[in-house]
Amino acid sequence: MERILVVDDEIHTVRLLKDFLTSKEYEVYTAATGLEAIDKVKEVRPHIVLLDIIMPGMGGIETLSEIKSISPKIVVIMITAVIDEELAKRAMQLGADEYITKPINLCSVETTVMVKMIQLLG
Amino acid sequence: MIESEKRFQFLVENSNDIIYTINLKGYFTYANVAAERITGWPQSEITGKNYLSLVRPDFHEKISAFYEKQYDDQIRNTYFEYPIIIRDGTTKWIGQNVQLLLVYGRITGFQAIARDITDLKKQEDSLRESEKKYRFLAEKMTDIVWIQDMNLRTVYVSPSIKTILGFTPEERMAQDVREQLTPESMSAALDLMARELALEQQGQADPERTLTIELEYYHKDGSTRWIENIISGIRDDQGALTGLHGVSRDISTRKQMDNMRKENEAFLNNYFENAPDGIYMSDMQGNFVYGNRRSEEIIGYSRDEMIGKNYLELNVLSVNSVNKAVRLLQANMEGKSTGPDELELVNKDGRHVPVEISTSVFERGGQKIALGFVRDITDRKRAERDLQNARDQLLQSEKLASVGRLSTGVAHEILNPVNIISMELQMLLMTEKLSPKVKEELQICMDQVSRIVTIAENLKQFSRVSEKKIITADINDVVANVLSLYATQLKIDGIKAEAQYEPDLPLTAMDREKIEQVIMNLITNAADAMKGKEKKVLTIRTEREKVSRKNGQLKIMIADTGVGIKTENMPKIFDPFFTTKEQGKGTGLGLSISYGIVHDHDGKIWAENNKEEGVSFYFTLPVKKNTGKITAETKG
Repeated sequence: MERILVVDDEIHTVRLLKDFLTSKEYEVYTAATGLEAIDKVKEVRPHIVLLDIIMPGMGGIETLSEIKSISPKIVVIMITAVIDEELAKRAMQLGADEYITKPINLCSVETTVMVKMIQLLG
Repeated sequence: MIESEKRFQFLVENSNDIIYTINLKGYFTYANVAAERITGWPQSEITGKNYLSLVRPDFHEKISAFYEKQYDDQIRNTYFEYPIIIRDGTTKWIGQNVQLLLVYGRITGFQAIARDITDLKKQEDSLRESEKKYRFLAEKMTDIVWIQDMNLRTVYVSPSIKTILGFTPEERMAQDVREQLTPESMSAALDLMARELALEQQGQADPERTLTIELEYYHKDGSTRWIENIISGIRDDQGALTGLHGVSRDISTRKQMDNMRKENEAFLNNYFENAPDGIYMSDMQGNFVYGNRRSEEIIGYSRDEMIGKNYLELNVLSVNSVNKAVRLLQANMEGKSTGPDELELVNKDGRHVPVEISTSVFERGGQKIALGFVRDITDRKRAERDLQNARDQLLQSEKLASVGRLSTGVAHEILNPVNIISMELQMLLMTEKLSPKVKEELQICMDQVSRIVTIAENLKQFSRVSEKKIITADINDVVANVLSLYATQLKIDGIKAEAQYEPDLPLTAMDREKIEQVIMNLITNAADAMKGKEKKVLTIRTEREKVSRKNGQLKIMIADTGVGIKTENMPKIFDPFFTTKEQGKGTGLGLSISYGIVHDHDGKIWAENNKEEGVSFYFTLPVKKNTGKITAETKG
C-alpha cells in the first residue's frame, strides 16, 4: 500500500487528513514536528510527505531539505496558508514537488496525491 | 482896616471852598461854612476835631508825612489831593492848597483852602477807564476794519492790518487791489462784485445785505493769509452804492484745519478705496450706507446696487450665517464692537465666500452706524482644507499600515481553525446517507468559510509583501481590459457602460495588476450602488491633467448613477471595514485597498457626489518612467 506521512503541528488537521486519506486506502503515518517527521521518514520511507510550512521549532522548509537529503525520491507536498503562497513557491524552488493551500480542499488533496503517486510509481 | 477885615471875613465865610486852619497838633482851629456844607459836620463840631478823623484811613500816613515835610522843610505853599470821609460815611475827594501859619516868624499851624474835587476825580477816572479800554481794544483787536471806494481802492483801514498782513494803513492805501490778492482770489472777488452789481442794477437787491467771502491775501513777507471778509455797502442819500466797508478776519488757522480735515478725509477715502479688505457701513437695521471697492469685488454687487439695500434683502449671507450676522448687529446696537467672526457670504453669482468680519460702531449725525471690515478668507480656508486633507491622507495611510501589520497576524491565526472547520465540513459532506436538508446546511457552512477566507485574503493585501510587477502601460488599455472582463456582467445587471478615453495618453509606470484591481473595485462598487435604480449608467473617463508635476498626471473617473454617498459617510469611505453594503455583500476593504494601491503610485483617490445622482470616484496617477519601483520609499 502507498505510504503517506502527514506532518502538521495542528492535531485536528493531522487527524482529518489521516481519516480522509485512509478512507482513500492509503497507509497514513503522522508527525507533529519536523524532527518527528524525519524520524518517521527514516522509519517508514513514505512515498509522499504532506508537510506544513509553518511549524514551531524545525520549520517546513528545513524539514523539506532534510527529507530530500534522506531520499530525493520522496515526493514532498507543502501545505501552506492561502495567504502565504509566496512561501510555497519558494519551497518549490528549494525542491518541494507541489503545494496545496489551507483551508485544504480535500478533493484537490485527493487529486494531487493521486497524480503524484502515478508519476512516482510510473 | 476894620472895613477891609470885615470884607475879608465875609469872603472867607461865603467861599465855595473850604477854608480852615489847624494847629501844630493837627486840631482844627477854624473851619468856614463851606466845610460844614461839604463834610456834613456842623462848623462848631469841626473845630476841636483832629484833621485825621476826617481823612480816609488809607491816607493817614501819607497826609501826616506831607504835613511833617512841609513843616520840616518850611515849604510855604503845597498842593495835595486826598479822600475824606464825610458825616454820611461816603468818600469825597479834596484838593487843597496849604500854607504855613507864621506868627512872628514862628510856625504855629497851617492854613488851607480845600476844594471838593469829587466830580472832577470821577470824570478823570472814567476817562482813564475808557482810555484803558480803548487801548486794550486797539492792542487786542485782530479784525481789520476798512472802507473801499467803488474802484476797490482802500480809503480807510484800521491799524490792525499791520498785525495781520504786515502793511501799515498808509502802505495799504497806496496799493492797488491787484497787489493785495492772489490771482485766484482776485478773480473770485471780481466775480462776486460783478454778480452783486448786476443785482443792484436790477434793483432787486436788499441794500442792507452783507456778503461773506473768503479770500487769500498777500502778507508783506510774501506769504499768504486766508481772510474772511464780511462786506456791506455804503450808500448816498439816494441809496446809490458809493463804496464798500468791511470787517476782515484772519482765518488761516481755520483754513489750515479745514485743509487738514480735507486731506485727512481724502487720505481716509483713499485708504478705504484701496484697502485690501472690504469695508462697509450700515445703519442699525442693516441697510448699507457705504461700501468700498473691495466690498464690491467680494459680494459682486456694485455700490449702487448695494447702498440703501438691506443685507437680508440682498441675500448676501448663507443660511448658516444669517443668525450670526443678526447677533453681530445686535451687539452693534448695544454699542459693542465685534469680531473677527467667520461668516459665509453668497455673492451675486451665488458663489459662497468665506469671510472674516470685524465691526465697530460710531455715531454720525446722531445716528449709530456700524463700520465693518470684511476679509475674504477663501485662500486661507483652502489652505486649511488642503492641510486637513494632507493630514487625513496621512492618517489614512497610518490606518492602513497598522491594519496591514495587524491583519497579517490575524489572518494566519484565523486561517488555521478555519482550515479545520472546512475539512470537518468536507468530511461530513462526504458521509453517505445524509438528508438533503443537512447537506444543504453544511454547504451553507462551507460558503461562510469561503467568505472568511476571502476576508483573510483581502487583509493580506495590506501587508504588501506581494511582489510588485512594475511595467509601463497605457491606462486606456488597462481600463479597456477591465471593462471587457466586466462587459457580460454589466449587461446582465442592465448597466450601460460609457467609456470616454482621451486619445494618445502617455504611457506610465505602474503595477498593472494592482491598478486593474482598483478599477475593478470601483466598477463593482458602482454596480452595487445602482442596484434597483431605474437609470443605470457607468461612465469611465480618462484624461491627462497638466499640473505642477513635470509630466502631468493621468486622471481616471468612474461615475455611477447610484444612491450616492451620504455626507456623514464621506470621510469614512476609505477606512478599512467600512461598508454600507448589506451584510455579506462586501468586506469593507475594497476602497481601502484601492487607496493603498493608488498612494503607492503617488496618486490620489477621492469621491464626489454628482449634482444629479450617484457618485464619481477619481484617482490620479503621475506619469513616470519605469525605474522598476513605484516609489522611493520601501513599504511593507
